[in-house]
Amino acid sequence: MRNRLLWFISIALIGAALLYLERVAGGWLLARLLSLTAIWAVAAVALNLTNGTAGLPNLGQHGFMLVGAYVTALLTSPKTTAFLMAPWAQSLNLNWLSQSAVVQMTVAVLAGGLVAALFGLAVGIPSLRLRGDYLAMVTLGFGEAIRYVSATDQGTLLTNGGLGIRGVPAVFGGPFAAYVWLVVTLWFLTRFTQSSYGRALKSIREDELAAQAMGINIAYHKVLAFGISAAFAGIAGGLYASWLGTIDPNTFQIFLMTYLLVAVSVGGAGSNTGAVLGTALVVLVRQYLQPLEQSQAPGPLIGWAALATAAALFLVVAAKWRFHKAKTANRTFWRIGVIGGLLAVAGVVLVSGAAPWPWFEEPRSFVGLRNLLLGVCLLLVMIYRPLGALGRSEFGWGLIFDRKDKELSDTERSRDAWLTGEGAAKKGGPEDVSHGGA
Amino acid sequence: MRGRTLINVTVLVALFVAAGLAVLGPGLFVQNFLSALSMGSQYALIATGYSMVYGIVRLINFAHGDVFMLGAYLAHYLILFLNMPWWAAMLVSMAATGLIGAGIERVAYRPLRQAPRASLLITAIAVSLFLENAANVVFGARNQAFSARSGLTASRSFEVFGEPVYYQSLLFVVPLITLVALVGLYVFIERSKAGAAIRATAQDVEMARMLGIPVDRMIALVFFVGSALAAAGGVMYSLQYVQIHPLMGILPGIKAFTAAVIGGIGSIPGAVLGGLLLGLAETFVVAFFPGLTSFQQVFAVIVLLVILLVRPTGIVGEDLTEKV
Repeated sequence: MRNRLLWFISIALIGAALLYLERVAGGWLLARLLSLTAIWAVAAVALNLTNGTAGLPNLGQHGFMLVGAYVTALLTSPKTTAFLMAPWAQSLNLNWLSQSAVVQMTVAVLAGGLVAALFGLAVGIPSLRLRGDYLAMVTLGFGEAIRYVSATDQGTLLTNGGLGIRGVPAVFGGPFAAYVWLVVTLWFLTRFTQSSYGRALKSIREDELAAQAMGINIAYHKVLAFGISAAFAGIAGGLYASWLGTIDPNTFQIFLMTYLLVAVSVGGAGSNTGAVLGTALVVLVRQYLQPLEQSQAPGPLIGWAALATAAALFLVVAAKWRFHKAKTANRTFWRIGVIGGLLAVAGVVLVSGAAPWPWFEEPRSFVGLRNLLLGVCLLLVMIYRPLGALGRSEFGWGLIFDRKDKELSDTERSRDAWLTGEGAAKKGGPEDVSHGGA
Repeated sequence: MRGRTLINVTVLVALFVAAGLAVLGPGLFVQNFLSALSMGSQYALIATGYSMVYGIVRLINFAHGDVFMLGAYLAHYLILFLNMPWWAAMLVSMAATGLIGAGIERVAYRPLRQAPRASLLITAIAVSLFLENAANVVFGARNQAFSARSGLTASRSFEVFGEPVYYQSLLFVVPLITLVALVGLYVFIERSKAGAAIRATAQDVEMARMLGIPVDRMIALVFFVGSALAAAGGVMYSLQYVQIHPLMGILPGIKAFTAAVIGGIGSIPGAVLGGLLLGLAETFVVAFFPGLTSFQQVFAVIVLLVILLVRPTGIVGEDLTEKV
């Protein structure tokens, strides 16, 4: 009860602060970043429902966002530059419904969610009968295909092709509005996860056969979870269109999906608050590491990267030396030490500018470096902490007031066997398929 | 059963040829068939890598398409800087890409050997993200023209029943290279000692390990071979489509996966068959229905959905149902 009250108060306080921020300085970078975080977080929390709670690898979130964004844009944009669009598409609007921009936008965003959910069902139903890998590939294929189609001649009739749709009203682009949507999403999805549906999904994730034996309708629950996830991705797409103002097919490249995947995986697989924190991290990394991609001499940049890697390696060695029981220097130990030493030497040489080749001096741009770092980050998280920062637990007041909550019970630990591999390790080998289609 | 299958296949092929000749005429039919064969054999090469890796570690290697891209880029720079002929560049690129593929396995997938599939899948995505952006950073994000200069892409023609057939020598060279590569692969897998060890590992990892087979090395070898084949596919793809860019591998990767699923994932002959069928389907759908031209690239995704609905195990695939 106390925790719930605290939640209400903090939500209200954050909301008030954001409302104030929006009134005072809606155009500030901070406001823009906060609203982008909230919007992407809607999609990330939705992704968490499939990838984390239900254990269905969904890699098509950018495709569903595209669908939602275009539906929203078609319904709300004045389409003054829609030269390539079919006449009937140009004449789409919601003026018959209401003159209020907020009402129009809300209806449009919800419609986007609905259409995205329909696409989700069309993609999900064939592949959900099978093992997760197929769903992953089909959704990835869908995400790429829908972007491709939206840029083709026929697709252009609806999407205006590469010219994009301009002038989507910025009604939901501000931090407060985006935050309201995020709170609604979090509320709905958390309730859903805690309901009998959510428990059914978790049991499917842990052991599909056992869940089936308990009388759970596997296909129904999977399709439901997937459809809901796609719907919220569509809503997030609509909000994103509102945030951007202009959308074109290239807005929804595969990288958008990987940001969400990084957010969910780093924040904690199965933790909604973790997904929000992960999204904030991704947005911050993308914003504040931008200088790295600007034109500069490659030498010092590579040098610093080498030095940082060497430092990390030495830290690992030191930690192992300190905490390892047997204090013998084995082969791995020496190997890491030698690699780290070489990297450190190379780093010093490059940073000091002593490297002899002119290639290291000529400035060039490093577009893609931030995404590369996110990729490395995802890789390291998967190898060393597959459950992410928060794991299955939610960030909450319990963490502050009830210290006991931090300790996992045996039940919870065994529940995580699905992701940490303890169960699989016991049963033995990659042969052991932990969740398969029946 | 076998006899009936044979009759069915013969009838289908006869129907297809008759329909093709009736709708397109002999010239266009042969022309389309040639390009379908060439496209299909590229898919077959990439799909073989998918299928081999899936067969041995039960992992869909999402980074396979990006390995394909790396193969194309390596060959591009070899030709550009060392003035190699395209075939030599292809061979060197195959070897180098194979090593990169084995390295990826060592760094990213081996630490997760005991981990559940969900982690492996996300790791594969992470590798894919890494490779795409490493290519962005190192090679540049813009499109580049593939640097091979050969007479292979010059347009030539011959006559069939009085109708001209326009073709590039490439359309014959690509299936030929594929054939050589696949025959080599077959001999390697079926006749060599390492091939036998790979087959044993694919069948039962634990048993193979107990028999003294260096399982990890065999898995690395499979990644090497699969990546080398993908690189060959990448070079030939770039010869044909000229443009290369860091995201070029995504769509061919998805298509090759479709091909592997059509044939039955985990089976090498299945992957080859699936690749050829997908190539034929993609080409002739557009030839028969020109209105669908702009959907040619996404046709594979629809095929994938239909296959998963109708026959998820593919033509010669393993049984997918789970045993307790």
